[in-house]
Amino acid sequence: MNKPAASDQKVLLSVRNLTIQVPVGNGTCNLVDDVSFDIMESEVFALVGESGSGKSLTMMAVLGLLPLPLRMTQGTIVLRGQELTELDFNGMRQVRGKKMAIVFQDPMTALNPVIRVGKQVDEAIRLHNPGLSAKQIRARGIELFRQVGIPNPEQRYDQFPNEFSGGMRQRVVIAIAMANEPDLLIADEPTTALDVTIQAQVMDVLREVRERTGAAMILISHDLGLVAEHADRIGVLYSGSLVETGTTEQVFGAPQHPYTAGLIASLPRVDQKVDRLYSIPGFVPAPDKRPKGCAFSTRCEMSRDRDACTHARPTLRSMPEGRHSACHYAEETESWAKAQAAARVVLDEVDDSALRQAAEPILSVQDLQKEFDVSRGFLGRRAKMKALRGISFDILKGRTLGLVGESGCGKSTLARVLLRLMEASGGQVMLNGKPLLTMQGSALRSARRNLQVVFQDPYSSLDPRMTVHDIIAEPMRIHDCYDAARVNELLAHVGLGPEALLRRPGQFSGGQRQRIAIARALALQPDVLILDEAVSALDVSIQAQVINLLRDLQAEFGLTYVFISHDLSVVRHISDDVAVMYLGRIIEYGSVREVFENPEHPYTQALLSAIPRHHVPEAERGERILLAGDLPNPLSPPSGCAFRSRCRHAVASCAQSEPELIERTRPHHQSACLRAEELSNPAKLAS
Amino acid sequence: MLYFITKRILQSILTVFGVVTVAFFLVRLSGDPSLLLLSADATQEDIAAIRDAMGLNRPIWVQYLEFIGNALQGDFGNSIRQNSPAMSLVLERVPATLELALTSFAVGIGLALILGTIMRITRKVWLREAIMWIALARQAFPVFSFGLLMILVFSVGLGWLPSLGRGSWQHLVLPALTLGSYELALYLRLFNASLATEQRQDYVRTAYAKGQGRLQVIFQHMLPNALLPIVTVAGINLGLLLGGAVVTETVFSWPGVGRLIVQSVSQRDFPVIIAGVFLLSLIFVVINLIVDLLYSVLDPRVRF
Amino acid sequence: MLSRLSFSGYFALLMLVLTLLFIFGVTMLPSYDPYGQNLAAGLLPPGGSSFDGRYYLLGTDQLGRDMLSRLALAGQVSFAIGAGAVMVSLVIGVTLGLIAGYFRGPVEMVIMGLADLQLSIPRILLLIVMAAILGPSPWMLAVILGITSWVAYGRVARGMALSLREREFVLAARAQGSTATWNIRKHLLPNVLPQMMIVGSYEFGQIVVMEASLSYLGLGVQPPLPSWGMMVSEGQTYLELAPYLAVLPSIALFVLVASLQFLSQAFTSENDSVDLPERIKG
Repeated sequence: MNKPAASDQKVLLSVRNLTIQVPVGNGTCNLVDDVSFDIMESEVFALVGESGSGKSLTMMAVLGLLPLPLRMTQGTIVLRGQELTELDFNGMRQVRGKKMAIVFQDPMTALNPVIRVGKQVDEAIRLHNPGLSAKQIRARGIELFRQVGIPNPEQRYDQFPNEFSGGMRQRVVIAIAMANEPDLLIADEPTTALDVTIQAQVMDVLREVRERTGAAMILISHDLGLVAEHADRIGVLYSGSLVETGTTEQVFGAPQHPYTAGLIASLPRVDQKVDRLYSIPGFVPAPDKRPKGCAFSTRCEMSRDRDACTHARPTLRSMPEGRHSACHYAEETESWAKAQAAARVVLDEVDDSALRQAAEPILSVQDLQKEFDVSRGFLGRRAKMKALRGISFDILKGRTLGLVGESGCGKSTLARVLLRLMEASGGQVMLNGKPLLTMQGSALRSARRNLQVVFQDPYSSLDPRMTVHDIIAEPMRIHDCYDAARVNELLAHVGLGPEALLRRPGQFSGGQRQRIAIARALALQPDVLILDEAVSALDVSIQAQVINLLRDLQAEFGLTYVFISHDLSVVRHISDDVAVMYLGRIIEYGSVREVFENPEHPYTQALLSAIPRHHVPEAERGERILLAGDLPNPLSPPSGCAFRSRCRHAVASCAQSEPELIERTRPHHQSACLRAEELSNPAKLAS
Repeated sequence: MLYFITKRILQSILTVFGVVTVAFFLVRLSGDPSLLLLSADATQEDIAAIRDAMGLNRPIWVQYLEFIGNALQGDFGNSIRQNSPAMSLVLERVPATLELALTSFAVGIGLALILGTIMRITRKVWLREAIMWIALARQAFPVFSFGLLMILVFSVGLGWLPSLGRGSWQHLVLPALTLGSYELALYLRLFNASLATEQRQDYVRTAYAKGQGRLQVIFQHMLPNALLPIVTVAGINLGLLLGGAVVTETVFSWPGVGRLIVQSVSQRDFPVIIAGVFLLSLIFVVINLIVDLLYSVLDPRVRF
Repeated sequence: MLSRLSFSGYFALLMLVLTLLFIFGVTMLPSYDPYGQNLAAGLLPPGGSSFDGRYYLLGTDQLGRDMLSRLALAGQVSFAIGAGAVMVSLVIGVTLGLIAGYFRGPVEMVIMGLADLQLSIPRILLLIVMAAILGPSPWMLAVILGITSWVAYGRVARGMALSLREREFVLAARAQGSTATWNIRKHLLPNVLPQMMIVGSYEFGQIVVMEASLSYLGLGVQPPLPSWGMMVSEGQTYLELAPYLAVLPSIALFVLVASLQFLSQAFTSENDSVDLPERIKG
């Protein structure tokens, strides 16, 4: 897939000196600053950057859809020789949807909720094909639905968006985008809102429709792994400027800008466990507070405050092999990156799973159940949704259990039940040898001190009206043990200075807020910390900082973590043991190395195969297992094994009874698949 | 769906029942209705006799049960002032109230939708601001003083339209404009806010990205969504509208239910008050029921 | 919050301050006498002088009472009743709304059922009946206006509480062992109050209108205490002879209510100019 950008290829879209301004107070501020790039016919060009880098704005400007008061003040955009910036609104209408089309990030909101999906596709066809009859338009629309893999297209054509799952909606959005076979498809974080297995399906659909029509694609993403797998060439944006371009192999193989090198180094890898992740220090500056000189200079460990970096703004300059970099010292990057890689200490994992049976667990969960009453359907019949079924696991003091699964698998419900924010429907939880679920009153209050939580969303986890001091002091005030000195101490533990105390959450970035949330969770000196997607909302460079912090704190205070995440690479990096969940059940459980290296359950195998492996050459990446369909309705799961509806290895016996979670092939490695033995041994499966 | 309808109907019945109960006890709290029927020089015997005749000597809950029993048969007792059933007095006035309420509702919401759409279509900021500020200014005028100003200008000053009573269509113009413009202001603000919310939605971006023009996006995409909250609020605001009708009817001597209730309050004619309140709340509840059902047709996300 | 105010917001604020200055300032004037009747000066137009040589800036009513003083005193009555009623309804509404939204379940059903019940009776009708029964003293008016106006706060507060209780900072506090009272006091209340102030400034205007309407119908403030609604009602009789009798209190009402509502609008108004430019480059 990764073709080199041959010079004889024709340029499809050429963007030069694009600058986007927003009025700030009395002046203006450049959100996108002098960005130039070319896109060749039928290539996939990825625009990569963290939040606030200006990657989406750049594409909205290309489409002419920048919302006021943002304004493009400078630059040219040429599509197949046509200068787009000279067109007025109506002129652009002939381009939008016909020559360029876009797939937005969130399929849940991108479709009009009160209009049938078919009609929304029809509109797109009719606009640019005024001669077609209603019948022809509908036929074309249904054909599009078929092409993007929507089952029963005739029927589904007349449904409303709310009758579609997220993945299916994104297919509809793709159908709308492809309605007039555009030359350029813009995909703005097309899979970010979707689960891993659905993400793979959608990327597959995008590839198919593109290959069929020969359209070029701009893939906007923050996900380096995704980009590595799907892009031909990459442009890296940092704080409104393009800092590096090159082919995917060039950029990942030998980055020419320290920011790119840092990003790649801070990604956890699914095939190894390292002592510490590299992390870019600090955070992305606000657009009106960029440092003088190079915008990255304050975070750059290669710059070492050299004069050129702090005074002169580097421009994107040509490098050998058709690459570009905006670093004064781009030539040093390769050796600097190599030095960083060499500094990575790969941990030698010893199999300590036997340990689990030997010692007394700090947190022990046995056969935990949670049901929700849901009224549904005609006459409001009551139904029970089983959100958690027979969850059992043990965690030893000072260790980390990773809980992985897609949305709807019950992992967040599990966190809430453990925290007693919801009552369990059955089962038992022992915390420090005491039954947690039956505690009431003051016993519960004091038990809560030992079990604390850090949530996902750094914007919702802190009360916006409290100062940082009050936020961190709150748990102590609840338990009448307020101590101002302790607040300072906690703040220092998570790497923030005392000047933060009197400020409010609104003044902090996502990573800093998450640090504050961690400080609050540590205030009562808990034994166990539940981390519910605690790093999922953070940008890559910040995520590495917080992961390192969590590991440091664990080592310092002997903390035990329940680490809930959908990101398998991160789980691999931070966990000792891992439990994989599907539809409210654990379907595979064992030490992280065991499970990741010898997955027995086909669902685990599919999840692992979906992880982008940017560090492995394409040829060695192995087979990609594409799961069919969506998560079944949890109100009426399939009989027997709940996964069988999407399992390519399912046989008749799978429908009969639900397989137990037991050791099937190796000691201390449990799985819930009848065919685990064959599946873990490819040779046997073939026979 | 059937379940939902049954549930909503039961809820509605409960509401009307609650309203009537509140009205009954409020009225009983206010003192002895028998005193109203008698002249000031009535003797103790006279009072006792009339209390006995009216059944006021029995425990209050017996009286309440009897009242409910009669009310279920449509009997709210006789008017104390006029010797006819309270309910028939109220029913006589219903057509006038409905005429006023429906006309002004149509005027108000119709103009609100037109002006709101104009505000969204125009790129002239001053026009947008002007419409909004006029609407806000109208909302700051109490119904009665706005009505009086209308009378002052169009009846006293220009002599174009009659100021009092009901009869020809000319009689309807001033009251309907008074009440209708009040609603116009209310719905215009709401509609504008609702359109502004829709403007920020992602599906609007999708529509523009297809190559649709502003008018297409506004009419085909934003309007159907922006109308949904209007439908809900129109139902809830009905109470406000009926309340406005009470005052409007008084200002223009319009012979509707509202004016009847106000008159009955000053005459302490309690059976008529209760019957009137019952009828207005019945209208309110029935219309809200219809609105809810309508909503489930308009919004595919709501399915029962 | 003030820094977000636009030009129109400042204009509204200025209007409110001037109205209050008028209402409370006039009573400090030496010739202030809202009750004194002057039979020699009945129905004098604004700027007129009576036979006995007294000058009336805003004229006199049918009993020869000074309109300027009466307007100011009536304004004080309206403002005081409005402020009292807003306090009462804010406290009731926020308390019930937060309780309903935080605890949910049967408590919520009862409270919101009560709110629906109240909404299904036109507020003015309820007020008419209550005023007729409980008697229209200014204090009683403030109380009944207050208890019939809590629903607006209650619904907004409940809506916000429903979302706040699921916010992660409240969940985190619960996981730390906080009680319901703690969460409502420390987290919910401070987060809903700013919104409640906006609702309050709008409702203040509505309550002034309600009180005026009641007084217009003869069920509100009772003579000899003046009130704007009553003055309009009295003026209606002399509409052709002395239109200013009804017009002046109407204007006073309008200015007070408009400034309150414009202020509330200025606080809520969002930047709704999110639209597309005519050209890509602009």
